[in-house]
Amino acid sequence: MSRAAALRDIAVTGLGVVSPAGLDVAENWQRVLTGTSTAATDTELAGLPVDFSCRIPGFDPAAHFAPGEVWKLDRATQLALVAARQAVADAGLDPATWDGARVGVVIGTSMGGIGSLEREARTMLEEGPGWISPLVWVMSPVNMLAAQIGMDLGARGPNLVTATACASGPTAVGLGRELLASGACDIVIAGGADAPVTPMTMAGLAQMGALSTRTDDPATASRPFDAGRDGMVVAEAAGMLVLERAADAQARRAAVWATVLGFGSSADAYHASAPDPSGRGVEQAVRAALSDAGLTPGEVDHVNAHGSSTPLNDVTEAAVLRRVLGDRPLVTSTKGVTGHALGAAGAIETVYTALALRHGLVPPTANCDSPDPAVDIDVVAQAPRRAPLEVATTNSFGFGGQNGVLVLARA
Amino acid sequence: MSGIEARVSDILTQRFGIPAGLIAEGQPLNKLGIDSLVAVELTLVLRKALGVAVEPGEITSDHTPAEIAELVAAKGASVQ
Repeated sequence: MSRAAALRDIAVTGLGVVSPAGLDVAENWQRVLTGTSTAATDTELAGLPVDFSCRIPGFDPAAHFAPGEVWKLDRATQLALVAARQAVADAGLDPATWDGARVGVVIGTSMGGIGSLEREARTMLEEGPGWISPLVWVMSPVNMLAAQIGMDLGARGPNLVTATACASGPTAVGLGRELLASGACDIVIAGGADAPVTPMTMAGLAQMGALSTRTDDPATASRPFDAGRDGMVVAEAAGMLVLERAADAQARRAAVWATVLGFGSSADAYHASAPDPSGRGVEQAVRAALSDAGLTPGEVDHVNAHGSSTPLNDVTEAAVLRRVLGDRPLVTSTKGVTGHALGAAGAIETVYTALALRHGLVPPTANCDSPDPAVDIDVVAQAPRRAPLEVATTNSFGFGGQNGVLVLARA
Repeated sequence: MSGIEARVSDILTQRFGIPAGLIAEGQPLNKLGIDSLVAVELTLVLRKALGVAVEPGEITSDHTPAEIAELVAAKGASVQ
């Protein structure tokens, strides 16, 4: 292997995740393997056409932040910070002793601190400009997710946010990998965070027709690749990974969850919200990721699909997977369990993909009881499937037609 | 401690999470972890809670809780 190629092998040495499926990595993996949905009626959405979501049960900000700090952090930032701290601890790294100038942060998000922005917009209309909090400029902007992690952990290297809608997480990991391969950083904290379950965003998505309307039975609403799927269920979450060059990880004898071998990015250049039904952009991203990894399509054992449970995405994505990878890979969509955490989705799914490789276990797709006959791939459902997994990909596709695909290998 | 001062102290604890013991030391806000942005937020909260016409900029992070109580009292704040 050439020196340049070796530099592009990036080890995942730390994982962190806070999601509806649990408050840490172990809880998440356990819940995802059960293949049971986390969606439930949401009292904060009462009166809206779609009044359910996937919330994080038992997340207590006061357990993680001082009373003088907690109210200054938007919920998305709180989730991001907790997941980032988990990932750094899991990597066995100590921010008190690392060279912070060599530590980068790349975080994906779709909506950033949208909850705080929505609250201040209400204040503006109801009370006037003299009552607006100056903290709106600390709590709402998307860049603050990465900035707050940098401050919290003393990470003073490149500090960036990727905003490619629901592909933001893999985009962050892909960009983080470039920062390591180029030598700009020695450690990168990469991932995604979103807390988008707010009345305004949910009303907008309902108007768009993007959401499942199974209000009478939310637990059956997110059903990727199932014939009865009718839209997505929105979730809040954060997923983080600590990335290092494989050689560096080996030199410090770090435990490695998986290796990131490739990233592919593309744009449908087709429509603001609908996927291109030809799947052209998605196929381009999958092929680009495999090419970057130096692998052939026949080497992919497992795919953590975008599988958003919308009628159009799942059939389009399945057709591309069949066309490019054949029927060999074991495919799952963990969104059946977690719902769709927008900018965090691809990040938590990268965590799940690393765990699948580590354990040789593919989690089942929740609620995929009667697979869509148009879906001609091997969707794992009902129970986890054990298999020797060497190579996996994770797909993430965003509004605007922005696509991101990562290739991971067993460490 | 005057009634107003107790009310300001209460707000700093309840709304801004500053420990009461730290407030009692009489140090300026910037020693309590309150920066210039949070001082503006505090101004808005005091304006609403006490019904006084205090404007952003009048309370800074250089003020102590006692000075802030004095300032809002001078503007007519009172507690029952």
